[in-house]
Amino acid sequence: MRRYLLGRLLQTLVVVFLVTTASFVLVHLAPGDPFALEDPRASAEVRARWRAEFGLDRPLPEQYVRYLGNVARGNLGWSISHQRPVAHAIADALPRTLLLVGVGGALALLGGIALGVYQSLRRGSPVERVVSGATLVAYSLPDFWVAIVLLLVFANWIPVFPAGGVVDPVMHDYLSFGGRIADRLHHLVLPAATLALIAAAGIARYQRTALLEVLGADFLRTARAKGLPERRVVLRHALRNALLPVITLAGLMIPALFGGAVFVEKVFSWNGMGLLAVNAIAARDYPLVTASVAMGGIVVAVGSLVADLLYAVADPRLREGSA
Amino acid sequence: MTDPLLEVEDLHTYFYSENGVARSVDGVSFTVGRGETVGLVGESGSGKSVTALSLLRLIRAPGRIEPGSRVRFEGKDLLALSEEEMRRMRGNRVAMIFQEPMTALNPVFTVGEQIAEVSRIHEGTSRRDAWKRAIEMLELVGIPAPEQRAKEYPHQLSGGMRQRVVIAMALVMNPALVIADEPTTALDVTIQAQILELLAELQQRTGMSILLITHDLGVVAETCSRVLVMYGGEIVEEAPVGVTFASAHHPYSEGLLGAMPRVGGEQERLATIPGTVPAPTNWPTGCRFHDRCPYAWERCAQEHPPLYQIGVGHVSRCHLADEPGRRDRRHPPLVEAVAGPGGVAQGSPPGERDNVKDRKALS
Amino acid sequence: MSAPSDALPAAGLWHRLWRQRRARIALMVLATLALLALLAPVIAPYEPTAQRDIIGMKSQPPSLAHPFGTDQFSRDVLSRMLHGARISLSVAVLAVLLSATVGTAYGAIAGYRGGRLDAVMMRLLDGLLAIPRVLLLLGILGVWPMVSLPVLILLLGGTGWFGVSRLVRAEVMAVARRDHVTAARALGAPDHRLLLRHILPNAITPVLVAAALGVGGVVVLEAGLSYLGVGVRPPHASWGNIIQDGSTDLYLRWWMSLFPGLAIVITVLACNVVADALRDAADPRHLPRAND
Repeated sequence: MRRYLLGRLLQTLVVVFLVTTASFVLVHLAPGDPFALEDPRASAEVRARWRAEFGLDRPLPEQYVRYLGNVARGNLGWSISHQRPVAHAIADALPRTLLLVGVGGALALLGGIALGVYQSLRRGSPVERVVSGATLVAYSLPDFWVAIVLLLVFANWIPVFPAGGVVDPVMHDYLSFGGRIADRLHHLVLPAATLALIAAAGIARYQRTALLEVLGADFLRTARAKGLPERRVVLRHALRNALLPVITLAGLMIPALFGGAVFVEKVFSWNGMGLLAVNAIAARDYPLVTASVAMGGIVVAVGSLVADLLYAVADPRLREGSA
Repeated sequence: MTDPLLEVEDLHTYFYSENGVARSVDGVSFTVGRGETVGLVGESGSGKSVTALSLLRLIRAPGRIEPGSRVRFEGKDLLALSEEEMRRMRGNRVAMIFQEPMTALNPVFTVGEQIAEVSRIHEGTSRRDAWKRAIEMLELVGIPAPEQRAKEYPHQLSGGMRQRVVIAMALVMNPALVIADEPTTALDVTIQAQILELLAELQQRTGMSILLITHDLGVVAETCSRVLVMYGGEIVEEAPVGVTFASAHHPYSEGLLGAMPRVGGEQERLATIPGTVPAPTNWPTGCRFHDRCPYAWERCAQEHPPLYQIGVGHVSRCHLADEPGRRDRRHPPLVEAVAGPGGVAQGSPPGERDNVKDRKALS
Repeated sequence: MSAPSDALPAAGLWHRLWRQRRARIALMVLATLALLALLAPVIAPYEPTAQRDIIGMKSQPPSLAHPFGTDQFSRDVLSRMLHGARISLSVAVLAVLLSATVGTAYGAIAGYRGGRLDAVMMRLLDGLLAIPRVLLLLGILGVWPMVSLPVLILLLGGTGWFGVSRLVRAEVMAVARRDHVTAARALGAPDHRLLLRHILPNAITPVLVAAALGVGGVVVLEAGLSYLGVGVRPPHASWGNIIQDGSTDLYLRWWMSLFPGLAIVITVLACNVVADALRDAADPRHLPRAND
């Protein structure tokens, strides 16, 4: 187990390193000057600072080393469109994305597992068939479209939820503590539901297959022969085994969730990393674009590492070696 | 004689599918007495495992124990019990040991937990007490350092140890009957012997009865007092073990004995029974063994033989009991005549068939 | 999931696929879409870029003359969707072809060679798989806004092969151990022949499943990227950028979000159904059983 942990940690570090390097490469490959020396939005003192920090007139390898050093120190450059350090913009946006993905992912996992279990247990019943069909359709929906439809329906035609934003732009600061929490939750519902809907459908399908497979296993026959009640056989013996592949899937879904978050943030004007990146692209703010994309990649890598660790804890076969 | 522990009467278990009805168990009756070890012998496809599962009512759709079957255990008809009452019998008064210990154990729970579970479910014992009992059971089945072992997972144990765990699980509640379905087939020969010894010892100690299901006559010789031979979903011979090995009556039993490898003694080749086991969806008419039998005659193809009494506690489902003279007239069985020696019926490509004809014409 | 080498070879695959009713329906839906896309220039009621009445026809909701309405540039949405179908579908198919080819090659080499080479290739793959495809594409397209369609296809295809290669590697490793391969090798067949003629044809099924899923996936991905403004650029129409055009006034021009979205959903649904059916067709457990 320890070896496995170290291996995964190493792998994550390598990914982080690759992503950082890739963003450096991208910035310098971009057409036009990456640090936009001609860009009127960058004042003279900003350019001077850049030249000093990033060594823009030095040879490329040296720039690279400086870049790495800067990144390690948390200096990711200056955002032209926001007129402040990139690192600050990211630091503001990242928690909001984490909140969205965290809540959406948790909902997806719970809902998806429950749905998957239901589908495999009630297999063949007319209700299950409908549910399975609906799950298939849900799984096929593009996230940004679901977001748009939900927005249209629940924020416009039946105005139940706000049309976007993380908090109410006007009222939020005047609300009580409880009111502010409620306001945040109110704004969180639609975006999180969008993410959760599609992810849950995917998880449900996978869980259904996994559970169906386990249901045919020999050790369940043993459990029944021991005189265990059917409910215990399924919920404790079967499910415990069927959950394992789903945890792996959940881990694998983390990249997909973050990918989907980009679109959801755009539709709901949720000021997270995704929206930051998208706006930065439109504004041709290259340092911000590459930094936010790179940061997204790093977050995903770390998330996957955590998921893998959780799986290793859950599956006893991975914990110690086999006899 | 005291009441038998288990009385199976006319058990029929059928499986329904689009390919037809598979009559896997087609009228099986036998008894198991208290403290007895009875062997149920047959090849795969004979219906022996299905019989075992039927006794515990572990047959699921599309299989079904047909009405008219009766399984009386400790005086109660198991087939008439409610599902809940039956559940309380399983693992408690009747227990089962399966063939493949690796797949029989749940890989995500420790062996201790899996054993403890039995007493917690049936007796409601506390966690701690159940765990203690589990350790006792592990000791009983001869696993060294049971306190440590109990905390281990199935994949950490060897095959023989896993099977001991399975036996421990079965014996927690001191059942009166243990059904062992090929308990040693998946194990090495040396471990096999150990497991059989263990079972015998445990039987001495607890007085439980064992229904041992196997295809291996060697195992039967070691452990059983009475032997039931199954073929084609039916019992074709029943006899005390000594009689079975010394003077088996049914041609199929003969065939099985002839096919047994024996250490020492001269033997040129292992005799095989030509042909293959028929499919339960399509049992042959008359005697189900007739097309593979070296003694069969017309009656055998038409008339389904009943169980004839041969001696004390010895019955055989064979018309030879009625016409013993026929035993002198051995001949190649029907399957060989149709398909050639080796007996496996196959369609041969046209070219080959011509060769055979030519050869015959030449000879 | 069943072990890789359990899958039946591609031999009777089409047959078993066609036998499933849902597969027939899905394939016909896809064929219809493809046909519509192909015939777009002929059947579209208007030119996709035609602005026949710039003032009067602006942002009209669906009507008889314009079944899917018009956009803010007075262009007929239905015609744009038909032409958009050409782009969206062909981009998806070509990108998937690319991913499938690259992925199969990568996986086959890794799986066949094994050893150190395999370990290195897989490590690299793990690293690549960790990066969300959307972010990767955003990163690249973000600094290169003006990509042409062929480059877009290259990028989409070039980011979609990671999963396929893993699958192929597993299959190749399983098939390579089979007897018929050893026999061929004993007869002196060179590596590449073994791979191409003996191993790959048996390993092809998961690639087909992944391809079916992939087409749906790329359609969504391209639409999403176009929606964000970095995919297919105007004046080309794609389902995604029609939605993008509509997004500037979402509530007013709802038809511009609804109809292209439905088209995407139908396409992806059909692809997923085909993929499911393919998976079932390849699963030996679904064969009629001999007596157990």
